[in-house]
Amino acid sequence: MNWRNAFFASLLVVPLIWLLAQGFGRDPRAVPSVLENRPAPSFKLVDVKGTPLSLDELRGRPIVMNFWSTWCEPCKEEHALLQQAAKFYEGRVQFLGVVYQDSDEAVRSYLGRHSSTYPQLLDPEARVAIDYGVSGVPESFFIDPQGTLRVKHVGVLSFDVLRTHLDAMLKSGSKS
Amino acid sequence: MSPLALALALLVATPVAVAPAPPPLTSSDAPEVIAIGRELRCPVCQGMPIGESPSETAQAMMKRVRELHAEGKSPDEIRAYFVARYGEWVLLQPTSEGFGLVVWVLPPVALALGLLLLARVVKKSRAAKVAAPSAPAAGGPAGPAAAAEDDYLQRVRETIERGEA
Repeated sequence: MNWRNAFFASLLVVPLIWLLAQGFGRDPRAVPSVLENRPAPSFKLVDVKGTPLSLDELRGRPIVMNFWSTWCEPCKEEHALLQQAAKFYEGRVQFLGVVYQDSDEAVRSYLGRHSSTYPQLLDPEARVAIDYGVSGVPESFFIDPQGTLRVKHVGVLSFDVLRTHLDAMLKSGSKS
Repeated sequence: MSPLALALALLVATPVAVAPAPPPLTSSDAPEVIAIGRELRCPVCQGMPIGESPSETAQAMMKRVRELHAEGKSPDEIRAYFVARYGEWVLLQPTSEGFGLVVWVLPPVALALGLLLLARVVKKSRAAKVAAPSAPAAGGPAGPAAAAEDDYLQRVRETIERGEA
């Protein structure tokens, strides 16, 4: 094969390799959220105790909104961390759980055994999950005190990730 | 229960136990709803439209499609509703704008380049086939085969000349 043919072949092969590299080089679940840096979708849900709660009521401090299910094993691992984090940031950050595609009985039974220090909201028709573009669990959303959705985190949270996002929001909140 | 009876019981019970939920699309759905159900990607599946996935998420999304359609929203508005929440990713057929344009343009361009390359290779190989037998008739140098023949002829001539001498 001469250099001319090699050039023409590379015209075909290089873009294909580039396209494949784009696809294989990233986690297919890690679809960047189009909602980041936009106003967080408002909602009004009822928690497991029957108390209604809306996003508008919670403005003024950062919010960590965690979508989870009892059938999701990683969510159960995350539950303990979130409870600890909620205690650590008590009074400064509002934590929220939103139940994703689960039965109320299973959720009440689970929370009866593993208590929650923050509200656990029921989303029976997955309306809020769709509004937040949820594509699986666990997924967490960080909303700043002004109600802007800052970060979507796919997968299990670590304390470092939580602290990084929350400290940034608390810092920017205290400046404004 | 004997092992055979247990195996038979499991064989009979299994299809019932793992029978998937019916797909969310129904024959009573409006054509627009069916079309959108086939265009939107189920976020918890692998490249499957919400209209064909039995997952609860897909069913919830189909329900939302029906609600928006019932509210009088056009197919474009319903698509835009989901794109605003999930991004362009939710469309199984990418738009012909921005990066999505690459998906539409690249295959025909690659096909045209491939055909061009193939035509060149075929043309070259045909030219080589035509040139090979005509070279000795022209009397000029025509590659290694012609050179080998010249050597042979030269040795024959030399032998004849020596024999004559």
